[in-house]
Amino acid sequence: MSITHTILPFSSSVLSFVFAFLILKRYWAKRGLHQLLWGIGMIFYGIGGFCEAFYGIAGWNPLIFRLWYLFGAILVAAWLGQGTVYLLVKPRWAHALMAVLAVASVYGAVRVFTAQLDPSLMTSSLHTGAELSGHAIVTPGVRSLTPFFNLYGTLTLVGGALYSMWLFWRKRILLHRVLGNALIAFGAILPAFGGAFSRFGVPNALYICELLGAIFIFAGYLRAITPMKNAPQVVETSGA
Amino acid sequence: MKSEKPAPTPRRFPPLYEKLIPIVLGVIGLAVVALLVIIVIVVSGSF
Repeated sequence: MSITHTILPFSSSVLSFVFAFLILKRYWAKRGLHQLLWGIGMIFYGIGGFCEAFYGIAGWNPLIFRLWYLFGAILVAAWLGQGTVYLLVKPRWAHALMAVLAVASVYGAVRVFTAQLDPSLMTSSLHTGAELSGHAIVTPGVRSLTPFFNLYGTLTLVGGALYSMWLFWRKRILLHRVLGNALIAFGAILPAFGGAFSRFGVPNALYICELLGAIFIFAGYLRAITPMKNAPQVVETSGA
Repeated sequence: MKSEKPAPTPRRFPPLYEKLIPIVLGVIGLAVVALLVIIVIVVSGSF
């Protein structure tokens, strides 16, 4: 049992659940669907971290593995990104994409919970087995679902944050939202890189990037919803 | 004689942000491209 494989994912999980609570509390007051989806996404993030911590403490458990893979590896990025879709896209298109995501998520859940598992495969030439890894899935075609969900999540969550950041910067308004979206975009991309590095055998990358990602996304959200108190004044320049 | 409205003066963020924000946008944008390339490689390898 090491700190990397227990404290890191547990901290990530706690932070994610706290963040989810704050977002859902805001959703309750304002009823923005983007807040609901972000809150659900952060709950998924928290479930993923909890499962990683559980594995680090108690070892292999097939239910914990399936929950980790479904929520932490497959669904989290896409559902967070779907929240951004509701923020930026017309409702009709957002609802259509939500329907597709919902069906795809159910399909992914069925595939994960019916997949054959072999925990010994997590120990390979590239992995020590100390971290959870999708290599434990024996059934073909299950792991290949992940890139599609992550691709959608990356494009919508990170792309959406960058787009928002650019929009506000272009108009030179709402500096706190420019900065907040920068933090969110950076935080959102970290777990994706962590997953990619993990897939290529870089040790501890996943858990470290997940915790840092949660911190940056949380910080970015708080920055984006809080106008700067001593805001640097927009400098009016002359046209000449 | 009609009075003409003065042309609006362009707004700018303070100089530090004017320099940093495009750099941050560019770096994260490149990181996204790199990540998409990685995802495509992984997907290609899966099939």
